[in-house]
Amino acid sequence: MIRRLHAIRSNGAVSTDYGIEVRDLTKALRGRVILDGVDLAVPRGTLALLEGSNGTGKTTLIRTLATVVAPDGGSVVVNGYDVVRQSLDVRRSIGVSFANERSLYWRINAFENLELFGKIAGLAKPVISARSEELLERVHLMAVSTLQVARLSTGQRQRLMVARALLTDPAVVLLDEPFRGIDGEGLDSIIDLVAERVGRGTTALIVAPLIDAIVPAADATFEIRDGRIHPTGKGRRDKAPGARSTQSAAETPRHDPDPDPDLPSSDPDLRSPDPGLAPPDAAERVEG
Amino acid sequence: MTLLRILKATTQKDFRTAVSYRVGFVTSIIATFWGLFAFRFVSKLVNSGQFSTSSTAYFKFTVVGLLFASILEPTAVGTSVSARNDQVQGTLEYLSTQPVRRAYIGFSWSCFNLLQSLLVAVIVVLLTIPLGFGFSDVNVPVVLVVIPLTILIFAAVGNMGAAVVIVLQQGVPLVAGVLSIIGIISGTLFPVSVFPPWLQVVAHLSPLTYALEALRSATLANQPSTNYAVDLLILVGFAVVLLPLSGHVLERAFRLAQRRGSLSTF
Repeated sequence: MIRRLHAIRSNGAVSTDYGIEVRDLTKALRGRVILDGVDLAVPRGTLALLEGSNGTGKTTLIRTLATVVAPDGGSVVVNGYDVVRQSLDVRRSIGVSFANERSLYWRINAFENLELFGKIAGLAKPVISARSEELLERVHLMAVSTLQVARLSTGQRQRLMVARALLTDPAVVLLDEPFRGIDGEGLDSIIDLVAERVGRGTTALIVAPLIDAIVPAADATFEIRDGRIHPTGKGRRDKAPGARSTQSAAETPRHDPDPDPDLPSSDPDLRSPDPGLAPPDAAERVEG
Repeated sequence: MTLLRILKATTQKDFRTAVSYRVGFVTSIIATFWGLFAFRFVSKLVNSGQFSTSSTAYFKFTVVGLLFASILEPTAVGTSVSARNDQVQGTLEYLSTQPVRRAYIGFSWSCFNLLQSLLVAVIVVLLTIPLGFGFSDVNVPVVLVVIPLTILIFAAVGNMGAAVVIVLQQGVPLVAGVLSIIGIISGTLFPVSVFPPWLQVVAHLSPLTYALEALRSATLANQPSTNYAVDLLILVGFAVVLLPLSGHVLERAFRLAQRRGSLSTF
């Protein structure tokens, strides 16, 4: 008998213990297969680190989670919402920082950038002001917050992009190479800030090399290789005896108790749900 | 409310950006005024038909046409230009992750351009008064309905142009070219009545033709009278069809770019 791990909430979201759930994700761009049956599950309130060589699909995965790239096959659920069918709800749930410092408006200043995106997201002006001040302080940008972004260094822009990603206090944070060009102080400030949010229940996925300064903050670590994700077992929970909080491909929970046999997957084992692999607590928390 | 919030936020951003390039606003005033200044002299050569009443009759005719076009063009072409700028700068990818309908982003691309060109138009009208431009017996209600209605129509056209840019990662010259043709055949510089019959038929497929006819009739003396009710009804029809259609087209363009993975490339 197949146990149901998820239930549908009244707002259409899948009730799940995972902030990010990816199953059998495939994506080809310009004729080249980038993601080839990716599986990843990041429990709510945990921090996962993902590394990989250049061109292995890290950024494509982040873009898919952020609804910028549509999957060719498989299922991608963020904060309980499907990235294809409920993309607006996904966008309401996430905070993103892409590996592209040009995603900021360079002719206005740091504070104005935060104000713009806070307003677009529907935050009230006092909330934007309070959060912007707090975030800029935390990432050590307060002193340069009135300078045009064009006058900031690459590292300062990276910090600003992380601050922007956290501005709406999102349920899921996706950071692509947030430490590029960042000095030690900036790196510590970002790690502390993200770890603090994770402690309050935010789910975080960070794409970055697994350098010593970051790994201790991670609950689970992964490597993307050959279009798939492999656990590297360096995270805190990875090392905890018997821990299964953050799952690798083989342990991925199932959204759909009756998966569509037409879904593309190069691994036939991933198509047959195995209730024994599900975390027991998840099964017990089924609604309805 | 969401749309208004986004329009306000992005207009504020665009204003701040424009202020950081101080010369831009002044040059747009000079360029618009200079274009009209030349027509003051062309007007002396045109003294046939409806323009035979005075040496400034054709000048007044072109002021209304060109100024109105100078408001509509930035609204429509400016949307494509802003989309392309966001694409090239790298901000389009981030904008597309924002928790709002993507069609709203399209409308926000035209808002600042529109406000700026309205301001430029007002200043240029004041500058043309010493050259002989003036309104007579203005039908204010018609003007107040025709201008916003036509702006909405061209904002919708602009959204569709932005959709072309998002899909093709080019297309600004195409959109500008199409709008330039629309402007000419709609009677910006000449009355539609001087065109051959087949072109007059084509001209009446353009909303700008009805808008210009209504606007000139409502603001200038010695203009052919027009049935405002019919013109307004046709403009409302264009707006009702094009506004939701443009939102749909833009959403589809974003989805296509998502599938291709091209929202982050240019």
